[in-house]
Amino acid sequence: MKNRGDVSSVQALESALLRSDSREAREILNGSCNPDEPYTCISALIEPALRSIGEQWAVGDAALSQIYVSGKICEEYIRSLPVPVSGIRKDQPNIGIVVLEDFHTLGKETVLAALHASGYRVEDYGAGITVPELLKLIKRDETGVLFVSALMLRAALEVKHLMDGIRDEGLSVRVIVGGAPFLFDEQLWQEVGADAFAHDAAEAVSLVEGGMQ
Amino acid sequence: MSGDEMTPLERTLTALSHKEPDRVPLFLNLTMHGARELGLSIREYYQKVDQVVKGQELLMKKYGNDSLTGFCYGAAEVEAFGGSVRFFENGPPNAGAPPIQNFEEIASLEVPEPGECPPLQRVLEATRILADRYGDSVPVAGVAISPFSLPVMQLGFSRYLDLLLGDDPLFWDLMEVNSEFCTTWANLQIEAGATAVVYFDPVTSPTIVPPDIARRTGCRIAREVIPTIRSGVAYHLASGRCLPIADELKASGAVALGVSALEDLSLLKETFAGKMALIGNLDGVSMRRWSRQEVEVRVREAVSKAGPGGGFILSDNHGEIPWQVGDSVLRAIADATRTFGRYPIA
Repeated sequence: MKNRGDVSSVQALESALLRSDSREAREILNGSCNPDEPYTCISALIEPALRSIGEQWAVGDAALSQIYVSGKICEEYIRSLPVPVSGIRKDQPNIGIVVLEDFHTLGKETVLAALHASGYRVEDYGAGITVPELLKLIKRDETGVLFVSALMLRAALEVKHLMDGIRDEGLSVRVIVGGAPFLFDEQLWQEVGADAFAHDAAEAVSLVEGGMQ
Repeated sequence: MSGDEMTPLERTLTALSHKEPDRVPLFLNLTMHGARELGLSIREYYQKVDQVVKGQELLMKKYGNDSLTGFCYGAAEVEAFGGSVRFFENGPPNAGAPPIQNFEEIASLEVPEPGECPPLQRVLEATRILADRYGDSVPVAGVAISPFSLPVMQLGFSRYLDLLLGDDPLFWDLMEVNSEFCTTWANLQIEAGATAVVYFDPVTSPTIVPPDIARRTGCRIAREVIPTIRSGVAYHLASGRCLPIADELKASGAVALGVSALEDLSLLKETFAGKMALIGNLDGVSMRRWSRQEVEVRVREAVSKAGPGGGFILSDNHGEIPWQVGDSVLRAIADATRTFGRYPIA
């Protein structure tokens, strides 16, 4: 019964998450997961469910609010387990997340919840941060992976200045971008020199995992 | 510019009546580009009404635009609620930190008077001047953010979703305040001479909230608020999808709908034919990179899918063309509209 990540469990969790039914989602997670092995639960159950919801959003079959709430529900479950969140992913890089220069935080919060739900410890640099401020934070924290969320084209284009600064200062950080401008213009992430682009929160998680392999 | 038989107002009203005008109307939603025309920073540009008016005039003449607006930037509405605005050199002003820090503040929130907020006063004055000078021949658009979408700036997006999805009664208290504000603000623009109002409501889009929630909230609120606006209303989802709530949008009382590049224009046309005119759906984000040839392909595709029978205004799909879109692209869009948008559509 425990750490069961079969198709029916994933579908049941996905269905509960899409309905924002936190009680049922919690029951499915409690019934399927071994609390002593949270990573197995994450990889077999939580990540597939969140990934499927992200894919549905990309084609218009789910809403951004459902991704946001799903991540929060799973994050709360992981945080409730009797293991420190920071201990689940022992070999993770230092991860940061930020909204550059404005206060549109939904994308950041959504990715943050999905990363937490997947057992990652993440430094939240907040919103309204400028490129020079961010470069200092990257240096201070020796950030290895940085997520940058943008809603407006202007903010998305700021990533180019960030990448210039990273190069000029010789920093070793992988920058993963996401948000509406990158969805409408799939060449944009390359134009600004980012290392990768995540269509949704679940893909953001998978990009961290891909970079660790 | 040559060959036009109708004024922009006649062209637009004919299109909105689901009839074919001389050609497809073109609404280039250029709110910032006037600053470039005048050699000003975006911040400087918005500080004086005569500059905004001049910018709109120059852009209309340059591109043969079929609409004018006194609208400056969306975040101005949150300034009426005590919020701040951050200006940038290369993009629209953004709302600063949300003015409502705790949900409890909503219970005592009062409806501000939009006419007493300086940036909104400037919008009204610009609207008044544009309407006096051109209102008999060019539509002057007003813009009001919907009661359902304004909280993104009042509370911040994620906290607003927490309020909305948490079945908190304070959500409806906020909607009551915002609805009164929206109606007052929209009607002030009409009194100033605006021809119609764009009801800007991205959060109701199924891209942001599921259709069942939209029906209980954003769509319901729109159905109550739009009839209180004393003019024609265009419903705009700011590049969000609309098809899953098509019936609710048709019942909203709005006469036109801003549609997304994410949805097929032929299907949109079929869905809303005779019920709502479509405004869209050129993608503003990638637009800055388009070659003249790409512009022609995209304009031709849009007018051929949505133009026949009228009921279509060519525009970007977000309601505001980014600062980064340059003169050559805008000229190419204007030229292509005149070449391929002439009725009967080939």
